Amino acid sequence: MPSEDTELREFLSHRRNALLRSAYLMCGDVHAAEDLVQNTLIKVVMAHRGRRRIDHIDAYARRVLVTTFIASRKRLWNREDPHGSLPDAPAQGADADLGLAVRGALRRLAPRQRAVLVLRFFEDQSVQATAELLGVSEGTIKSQTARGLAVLREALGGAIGTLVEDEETSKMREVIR
Amino acid sequence: MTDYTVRELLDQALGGLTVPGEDITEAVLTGAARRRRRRRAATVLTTGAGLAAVVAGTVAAGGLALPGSTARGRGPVTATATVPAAARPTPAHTALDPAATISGLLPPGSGTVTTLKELSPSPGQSSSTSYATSRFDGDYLITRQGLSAGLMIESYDPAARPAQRPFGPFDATACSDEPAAWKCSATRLADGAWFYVENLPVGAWTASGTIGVEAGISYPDGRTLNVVALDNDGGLDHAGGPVPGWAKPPMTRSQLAAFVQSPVWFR
Repeated sequence: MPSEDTELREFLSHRRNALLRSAYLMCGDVHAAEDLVQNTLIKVVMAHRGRRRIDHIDAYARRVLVTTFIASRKRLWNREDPHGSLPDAPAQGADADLGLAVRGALRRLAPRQRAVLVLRFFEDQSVQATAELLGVSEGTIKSQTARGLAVLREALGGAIGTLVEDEETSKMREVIR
Repeated sequence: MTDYTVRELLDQALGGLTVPGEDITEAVLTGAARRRRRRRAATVLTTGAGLAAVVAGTVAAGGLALPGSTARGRGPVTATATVPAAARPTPAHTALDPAATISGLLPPGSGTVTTLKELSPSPGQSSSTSYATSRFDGDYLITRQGLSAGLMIESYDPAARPAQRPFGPFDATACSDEPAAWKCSATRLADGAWFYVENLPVGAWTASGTIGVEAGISYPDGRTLNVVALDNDGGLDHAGGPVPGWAKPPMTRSQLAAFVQSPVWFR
């Protein structure tokens, strides 16, 4: 089907890097992120030729990416060291060090919390969209977001002054309390 | 001290990532083809053993294997040519109104069929290409005594002009990824088409209590149909808010099997 192949190839070619960025934030490792993206794209291709029509291939790929990540980390979670020592606090203004510290802080989060933060704040997905994507309730997304942000704040508190949240997140926190 | 938004922090965390330049499109397509072949081979092995067991059992019992008597559980189950021929549509089924056609195919006394949404061309988010759809594609509400059930239909005919958004075809691997609790069963029909049917237990459709039945058929020429029947509106768009649902899906597995095997969908 020429039109199908064209669309699919365009998607594979154009969206790979965007998926890779999200995967990198979740995995914290380039090679693991590349594997995750390739595995995700293979699943997308198979589903695209499967028994149901996929209208929004981008949204479908995002869902596959995070669910594949979470499923793979369930096996590996015990081998990770989420509460291990963090990298040294970065010097002010040192972007590379700050990036290192953020990646270290992300590693302290449970896989689902990591995925939620990436979806909510990096991919700008709403609470509702994130809940639908992960197949959980909106309340779960709110609580996972709050816990994830708390860990980030604790981990990065010494390196940065204030973790500024958007208004929506602040309101959300009030609701959770 | 510097203030950062969460987004800015995540952007900083990307500092260690060098985006590779090579195109992995071919590698992905090859990987998908390889995985599909592997699944198909595994399915053939599984169902070959299953079919041998069925044949042995049939001979021992001195009877015939009946449709639906195949083992349930993870993975597809095949039984060549044991499914009855598709119900032939009556002239009324070929009416131009899709809701009337669907109503004629539902079990007697099902109620009134209302078109909720005719699926418009769905370009997706990654392409500007738009597609036509079959006149039956869409969401429907089946209302009886103030209670509503939901029905979703999507189909693909490679010969249709203008071109429709493609999906399928599927084969023996149609049930490969489904949980055992869904009782997914794939069957090869006498005309070479692949048919599957499965339950949608609580949690399969949404986090709410919706339950349903899903079935599909994929013909050798690529025509593919998928139907989902839910015990309530399933949160379908344009349903106009929550409506009390039926106590069970509007069709049983066998009724849905006859529904999807009707030739009316591709006329």
